[in-house]
Amino acid sequence: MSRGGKNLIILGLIATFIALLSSGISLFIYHQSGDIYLDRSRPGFLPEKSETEGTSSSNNYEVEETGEVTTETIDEFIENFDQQVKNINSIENPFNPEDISDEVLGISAE
Amino acid sequence: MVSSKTTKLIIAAIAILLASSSNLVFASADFSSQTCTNVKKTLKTIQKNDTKTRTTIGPIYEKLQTKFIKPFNVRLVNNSLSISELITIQAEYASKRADFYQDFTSYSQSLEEMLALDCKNNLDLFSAKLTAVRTKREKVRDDVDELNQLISEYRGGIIILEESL
Repeated sequence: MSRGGKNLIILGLIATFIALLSSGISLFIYHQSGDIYLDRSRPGFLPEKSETEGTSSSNNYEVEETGEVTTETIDEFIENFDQQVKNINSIENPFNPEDISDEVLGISAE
Repeated sequence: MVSSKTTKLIIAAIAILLASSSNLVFASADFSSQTCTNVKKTLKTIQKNDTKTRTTIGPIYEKLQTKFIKPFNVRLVNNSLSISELITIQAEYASKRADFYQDFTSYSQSLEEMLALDCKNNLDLFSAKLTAVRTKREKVRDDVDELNQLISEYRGGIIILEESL
């Protein structure tokens, strides 16, 4: 094998090593940061069709940091604030301990 | 004379015994591979639902902090209104939101480790992991409850402020 051919193989091996190393580091960070647990594009975590339909919010309300504070501005704020709270409350009993009880898991306990 | 190492081992053994007696005890004879498969299947469904919950309410909690509470407090301060309580709530909310993110990650890591276990052949470890997962999940639940409480307190503070205008 010519010297150029050998160099080409070495270059290829180095490039592969760097690619594997950087991918490994990226995956490590992805896992350690906890982002993996929020990634719903993972197999088995894809949103259902009903979740993706009609999720776009038409509410463009923004709180201005400047301007007068009147009862009207407060009422408007409360109205939009409540809308967000309503979205939170739409999830019934989040992280309910009963979800993971022995009964639900089908484990016999003494 | 009993060495400190032996003492530590005895204490650890007692702790494990106490933990196992107060929590679930897998009857190994009854814990078939089928049960193991079913438990894991249920846990995977819980994992999926919890991820959905987290990705739904997490951004709303963030939005309430960055797009509502923070700018509105700035506006109130700019209008020379006394809002020390609302600023305290804002700080507590930010701290609790960080806890929520961290606790959820910790819980998810534990759950994933548990799902990777061969429960049929590692009953003790599986049992210990389940106890840890439950504790961490309860912590996430507590974070949610406290965040909701802070949201309610902030809203109440704004109403009181409005009445004083």
